[in-house]
Amino acid sequence: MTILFIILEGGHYTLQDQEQKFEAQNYDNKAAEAQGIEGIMRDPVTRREFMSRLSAAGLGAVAMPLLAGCGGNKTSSGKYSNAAFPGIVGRNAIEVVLNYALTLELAEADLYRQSLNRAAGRVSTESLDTRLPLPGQLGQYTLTIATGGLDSASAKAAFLYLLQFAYIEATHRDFLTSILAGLNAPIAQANLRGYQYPNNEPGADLKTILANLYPVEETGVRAYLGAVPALVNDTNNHIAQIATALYSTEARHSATLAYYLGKDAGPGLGLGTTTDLTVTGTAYPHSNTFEYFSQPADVLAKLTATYFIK
Amino acid sequence: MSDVHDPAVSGWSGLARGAAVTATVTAATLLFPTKANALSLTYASSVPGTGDIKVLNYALALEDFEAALYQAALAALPALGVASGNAFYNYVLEFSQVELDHATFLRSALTSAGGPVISHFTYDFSIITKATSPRSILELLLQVEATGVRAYLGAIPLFSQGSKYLQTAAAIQATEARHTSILTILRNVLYQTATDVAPLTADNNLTGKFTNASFQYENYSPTGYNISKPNEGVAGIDANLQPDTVLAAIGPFFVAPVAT
Repeated sequence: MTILFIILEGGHYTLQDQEQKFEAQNYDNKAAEAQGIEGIMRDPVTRREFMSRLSAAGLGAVAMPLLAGCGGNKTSSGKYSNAAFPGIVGRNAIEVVLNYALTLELAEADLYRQSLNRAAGRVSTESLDTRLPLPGQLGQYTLTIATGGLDSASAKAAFLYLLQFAYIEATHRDFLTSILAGLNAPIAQANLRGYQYPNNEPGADLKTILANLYPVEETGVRAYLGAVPALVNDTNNHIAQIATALYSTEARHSATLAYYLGKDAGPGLGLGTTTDLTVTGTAYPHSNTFEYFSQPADVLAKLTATYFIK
Repeated sequence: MSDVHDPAVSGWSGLARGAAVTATVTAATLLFPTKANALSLTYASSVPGTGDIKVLNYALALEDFEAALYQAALAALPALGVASGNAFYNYVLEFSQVELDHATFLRSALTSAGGPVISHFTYDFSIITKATSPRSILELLLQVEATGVRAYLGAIPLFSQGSKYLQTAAAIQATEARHTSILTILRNVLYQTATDVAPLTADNNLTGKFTNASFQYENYSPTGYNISKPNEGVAGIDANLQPDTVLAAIGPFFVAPVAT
């Protein structure tokens, strides 16, 4: 069973070459799998047995609570250093994390803009229309591209979400910028030459457009979660709260894209472009129990390599 | 198209009709059913422990409730024509497993941390067991998940500053967000509603206002957007709810603690 394979691997499950295998699993397989594990987890006797088998296998981490995860780039004092966020400006941890988030949102906003333009028959360089659509409305946009196999109701819904998400990511970018401005902090700038999808193609049909957005969103989710431990001197955890509120919507976006792509709602291993780390150290007890996270250096390297025009 | 809704279930008033689960969220817009003589749950008196342990117990109370709710839904749906193989059922099955995982994990974590650990509760899910339409079950699940999303966000400031539990709590929180979006899509697809799957801009309620002067930000107005007030739901982010608001909303489902 796949889940046992994951657990018995132990440690951190890096999944680059497993990505195709995972994506090949359709939802029916996952549901069937779930039923097996579900049966174990529901029955208290077999659940205890299951836990102790894991412990006996040296995977005490699975049964132990709330490990701090994989550590990562912490210094010996337990604090993140700016070195963990290469190239990100900021005078302190909070500013660095906010600028890291902004760096991601700058890329996401632009990639969404390009995806929306592609789906709506606009040239790639057109700005996001500043006339904000009303809820449920398409504003100035019309779906013109082929659906790529989506039925017409799904295509209509998916296009609306694509449009909404494009505006939301732009708003996230502006929101983070406003917070940094309020702090008189240095503010991350967009990549000088801009961003583009591989081969400068957001997607030749709507479904492909969504498929190309999916790793962008998933990376964003993992990036935010990976940055949480870096927040120090965060009064009342306010910045952590804001960051989590942002990442919460990225997770919603990802699940929405997944729905129209016929994928599981996630979270899942190997669906992003960076190494998947877990808060407990393993994919416990199922691959979709907790969100995964990635380290900032990994994210930034992958982000720049994949989407930044050099 | 008129709403399909069940006749009132004895003892309960109203049904979860989460009309706009991403719109401005206040206590008044939490569309939970109410019940006379419901247990009164508060963060101060109903959640054991102090500091981080208390917050984790709050999370556990929510997850235990969600896990039990999902089990009740799974049991009730087949008789209403929604069974294994049906997309709605399959998602409910998957999410039920995740919520159970969360509850199991938190309980184990609290036990290992030395407790105290909130007791299990028995619940009144007659709204589920007596449902005559799958829609009412979907509505309640959706409302609960949407509330969980915001409950976790509201709990973040209650953790100790820079708590080691923050990342784990956040790792749970976003799964609730995914569930909320999926259930919203299902509702839109099955019942022709048109609910947003994620907070739109100018569409949520940031209750955690910055009070530290250095965090104040002015009316930032990016080109083309007209933001009239700071902190007034302009950011397209999920809102947060205070524990007492959440506990008051879900309290009616709680019957009694299970003696250990």
